Amino acid sequence: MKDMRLSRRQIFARSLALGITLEFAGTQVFADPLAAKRKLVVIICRGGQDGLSVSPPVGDPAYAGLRGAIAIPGFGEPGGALKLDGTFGLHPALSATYALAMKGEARIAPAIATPDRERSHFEAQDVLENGGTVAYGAASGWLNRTLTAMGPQSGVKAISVAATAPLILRGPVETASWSPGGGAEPDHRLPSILQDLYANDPILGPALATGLATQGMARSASALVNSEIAGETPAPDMMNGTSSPAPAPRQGAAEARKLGLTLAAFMTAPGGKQVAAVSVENFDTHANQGSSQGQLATRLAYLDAFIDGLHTGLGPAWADTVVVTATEFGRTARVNGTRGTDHGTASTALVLGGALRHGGIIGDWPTLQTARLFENRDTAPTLDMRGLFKGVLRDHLGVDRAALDTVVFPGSATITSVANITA
Amino acid sequence: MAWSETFAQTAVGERDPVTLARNALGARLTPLAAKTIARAETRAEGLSILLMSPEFQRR
Repeated sequence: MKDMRLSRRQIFARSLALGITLEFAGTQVFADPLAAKRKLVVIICRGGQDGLSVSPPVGDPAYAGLRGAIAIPGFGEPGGALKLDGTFGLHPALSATYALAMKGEARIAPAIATPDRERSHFEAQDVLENGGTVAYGAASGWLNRTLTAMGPQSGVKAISVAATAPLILRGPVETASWSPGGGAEPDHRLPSILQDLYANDPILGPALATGLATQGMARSASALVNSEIAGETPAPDMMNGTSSPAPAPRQGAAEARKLGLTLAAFMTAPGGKQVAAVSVENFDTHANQGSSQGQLATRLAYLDAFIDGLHTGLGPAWADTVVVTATEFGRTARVNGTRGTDHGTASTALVLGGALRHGGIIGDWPTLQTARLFENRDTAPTLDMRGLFKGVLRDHLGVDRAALDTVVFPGSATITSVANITA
Repeated sequence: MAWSETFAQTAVGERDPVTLARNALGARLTPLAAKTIARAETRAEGLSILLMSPEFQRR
């Protein structure tokens, strides 16, 4: 437990240091009383979300060839991408997000990346959340430092939907954590990972198989009962006549929608939370990723249902809200030998909300021409994720530029904020 | 399994599950388990795998 004591002391020392810096930053920010109503939700998609499936560039001439069996079909084809412009669409599982995009309330940043280029989950997630340029660069997250920068007089409070606060929200300012049932969100990958790990184990292998079979039966039964009792509206992955064979994904989407509704209730309550961080996991699709249906589609349907719940639950407050999704890295442009994709570089961020300014893609599209691929394998990054976050924090929450450059994203003065994100 | 997930999410912090596995299991850590833990998508998932690994379950 020695390491624990050490890190606690480090955090304490850092918070003291930050406290001193921020005292002067706090006085010059947040003069805008309107900002008191504004809400921000950051959704971290963990595992390395495949941007080329979230917003498939089906109009890019190289796309279909690079992607092979996992390519999302073109506009208007069965299971095809939902058309945004001549090049980009959204994954067909993102139907609620698409409806928002059609109202100018959702946009994509299709070639965005953190400063990290190591392609390791743990380290890249650290960089995404600590707001620096290297893993272990800070013991606090940039969203927590945003609260510090806004000062206690702003009264802005934050919540994370997780068993404990993720790094992005850890730091000197106290924040709330909430998760349904108080426990962890089930890791959908874990059973199959353990099956592989137990493959040669005469006792644990069969024991796990029996346990999973029982759990699967219980889940099917309860999903059936729930849908009959509630007469639930079908989840997005059930629309458009596409069928989803297993009940689990459907129930997943219904749960995600409920989670979105619940978070919205936390945020709209009097004195509620203005800032929230949410994690959606299981985007590490090395094998059998699927195309318009399959493993990734199920996870995207989950994300879409969560966004839909949040949008519905916020009601009129949606007009004062910005939601950003971000992932630690994208995936390889080419499909691999196991019909999946491996760790890559740039990916897609979704930017949503009623406060959004209408417009096309955020950042430049490098195209998928072989010569333009990063290290001849990945979508090339054209936009630093900190630039997007800085633009959102400045335009939407009114955070002072100097505080953004030094406190929230230390040493980022050379990274230009994306302009005109909100109206 | 559910318990290990809850525990892992609560306890993992910024600890590196690969290092934790080496410290906890030493020579008993098999290459397969080490590789599986290192490939986890999040630190919490890595810690869940460590807790559920055959070598840890028999410890």
